[in-house]
Amino acid sequence: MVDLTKSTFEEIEIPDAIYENFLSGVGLGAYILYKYIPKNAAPLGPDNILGFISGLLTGTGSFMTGRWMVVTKSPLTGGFGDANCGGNLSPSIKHCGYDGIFFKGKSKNPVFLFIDNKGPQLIDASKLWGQDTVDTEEQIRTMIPHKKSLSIATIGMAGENQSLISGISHDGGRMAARSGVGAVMGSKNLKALVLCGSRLIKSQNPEVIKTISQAYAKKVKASNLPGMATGAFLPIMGKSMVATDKAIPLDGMMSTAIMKKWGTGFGNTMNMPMGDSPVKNWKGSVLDFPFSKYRNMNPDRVQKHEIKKYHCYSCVIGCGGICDIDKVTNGRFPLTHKPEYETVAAFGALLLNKDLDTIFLVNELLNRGGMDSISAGNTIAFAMECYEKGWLSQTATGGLDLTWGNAQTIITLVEQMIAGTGFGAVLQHGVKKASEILGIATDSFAIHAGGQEPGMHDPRLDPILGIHYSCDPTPGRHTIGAGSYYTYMRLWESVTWAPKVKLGEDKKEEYEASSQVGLKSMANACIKQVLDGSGGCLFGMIGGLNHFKIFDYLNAATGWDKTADDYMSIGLRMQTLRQCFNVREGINPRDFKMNDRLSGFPPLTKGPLRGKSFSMKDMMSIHYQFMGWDRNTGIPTKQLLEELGFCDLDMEVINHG
Amino acid sequence: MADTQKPVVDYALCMACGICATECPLSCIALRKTDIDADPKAYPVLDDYYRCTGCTRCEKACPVNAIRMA
Repeated sequence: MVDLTKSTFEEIEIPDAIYENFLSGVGLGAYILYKYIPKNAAPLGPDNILGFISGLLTGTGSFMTGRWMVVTKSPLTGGFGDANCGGNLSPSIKHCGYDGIFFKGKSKNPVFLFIDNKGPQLIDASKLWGQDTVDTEEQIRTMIPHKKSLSIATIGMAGENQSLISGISHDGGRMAARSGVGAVMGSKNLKALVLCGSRLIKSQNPEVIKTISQAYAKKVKASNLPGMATGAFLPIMGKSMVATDKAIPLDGMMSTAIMKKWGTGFGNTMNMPMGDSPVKNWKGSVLDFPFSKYRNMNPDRVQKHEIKKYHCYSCVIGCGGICDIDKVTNGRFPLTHKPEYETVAAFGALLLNKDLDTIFLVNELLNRGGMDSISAGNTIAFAMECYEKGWLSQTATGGLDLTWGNAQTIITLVEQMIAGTGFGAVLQHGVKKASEILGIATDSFAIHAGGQEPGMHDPRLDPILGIHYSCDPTPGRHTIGAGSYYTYMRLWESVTWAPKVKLGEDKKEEYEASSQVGLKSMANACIKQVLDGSGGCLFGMIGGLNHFKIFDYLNAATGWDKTADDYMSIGLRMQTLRQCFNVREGINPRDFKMNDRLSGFPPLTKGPLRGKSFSMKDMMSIHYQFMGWDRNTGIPTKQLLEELGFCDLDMEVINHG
Repeated sequence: MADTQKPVVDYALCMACGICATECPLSCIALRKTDIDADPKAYPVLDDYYRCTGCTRCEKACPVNAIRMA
């Protein structure tokens, strides 16, 4: 724990019982936050804690487990905040001899923390303040010449300006973007975290881990798409996937093969005819952004710019890439990380923008400025709808013409939002704040869940996704769970109570708040926590847990002898602790319900999702019920807390009086 | 120095996961796009032969035993 006010360091020994109950990663983070953040602390005040944590499995020789987590009290939602990111920072935290690095207090001047084998030190960062994330990394590398290359996490200008939708960047643009974690880092005057340790990371049974890894590696190596599969097939695939209302439990390895080829970019075109990509601030359909427009986003076209693949630590898929954008940005930026699907969708279909070159530029602007692309895209979409409805005049926007798809305006707005100038000052804190500034009547089309803008996947196609947008302690996340994730990960092969998805099962049933839906959403929530505690990657999990054997990895790394069901209970405990944190901070879980437009109220009249709607209120109730939280209020019940053993953990849990 | 054994990568087994490069205490291993099988992945290469002390950490860390010291 680093106290930035006093410039002191304190090592906290974590009892083994905490790891057994909450794993590491987000679980350990939730424990520390719950224990050390005083109740009702201001998210951007000195009492808030910001933690960087590695995963339990990171560095043990396991694959797909190199993600690092940031935890804090979120200034965006007022509740639990976390974000995670790949790259190679996670093993670096362990190479320094720690599982997590936590910050409290506030430094007087901008500083960065440097840790090597000799220990931690705070270094003045006044010269770096105001620099973008890529330049900051470059300058730190010049300042600290070291034989081992440094792992750096840093904020950009958006984080310095405490924009509530700013994130923390690593390795030139990998982002832990969500929950407004960048703003918390900015509020502490902490510019960067720089790691350069080389201690050994130990595990209990390294040979067993290697055996599991080798079996997994063989499968991944063998999963390749045939050479003839080009991006032109993706829209057809998308169409065929929604042609039937029946579930087809395909092997997740197919997604691995697709990821190896295109990365997340496969969704750029595939998700359009499916209706998964939101269009025109979530009120349009593929008819507003037809093939003639979305074909520009064909991942093959993105791939043409790719000069090399980018892999995170311990990843066998390698979904990332580095793209040459010198020409498309007229020499402004040489390189960028390959735009992810989320960015392409948020700055493509959501804004009716058909210009791929803009997206490359915006992607790099956001990476350098340190801002969340999902939230930024949603916020601009909201502003464009305000403009369309006449709530905004060109005078109010500082002369910007906010008509749908205006590429030049989008670029200018992104620059303004990062700098916090002009009309960007209204939008820089996300949809909720912008809507508060612009007036209460804009509330009906301010698309967010508890302040967090949702990811680019439509709950009207996959209602379980909507449950997690609304019920997770960190709302608005597309990464927690969905019906499709559940189908691909084949949890039922290892967890006894997880319902099996049968071939030909009717997908319409997912629109009803049934016990089947409750079980699936609960399973999603629990396994995602196990994953976040282990440092695991979502794309490993979606590839199928029958291949990516996370439970076996965990047993081998720790020497425990737990079953998959035991680990799911740990997931439930982690999720419940995060929910307890929110309740303690005075959040009413029901307030996290996403905007009604996303559950089909009013229903769409055109496109693949026409007429689709479901009762979000009932869906939330069923999820709460299965989690063991109060069906009406979403507060974890006393009985559940006892069952999960919170009382034995020396923790003052929420008052149920 | 002549006796020091250096890591040799078996690219048929290597998954390009980058664990060896991160594990190396002196960052001698670089990940580069190679011409192997026209695979666009970035595979490890011993970038700094003389800096490598032959500590075998990469060999031990490799999950698929694709690195041996020779």
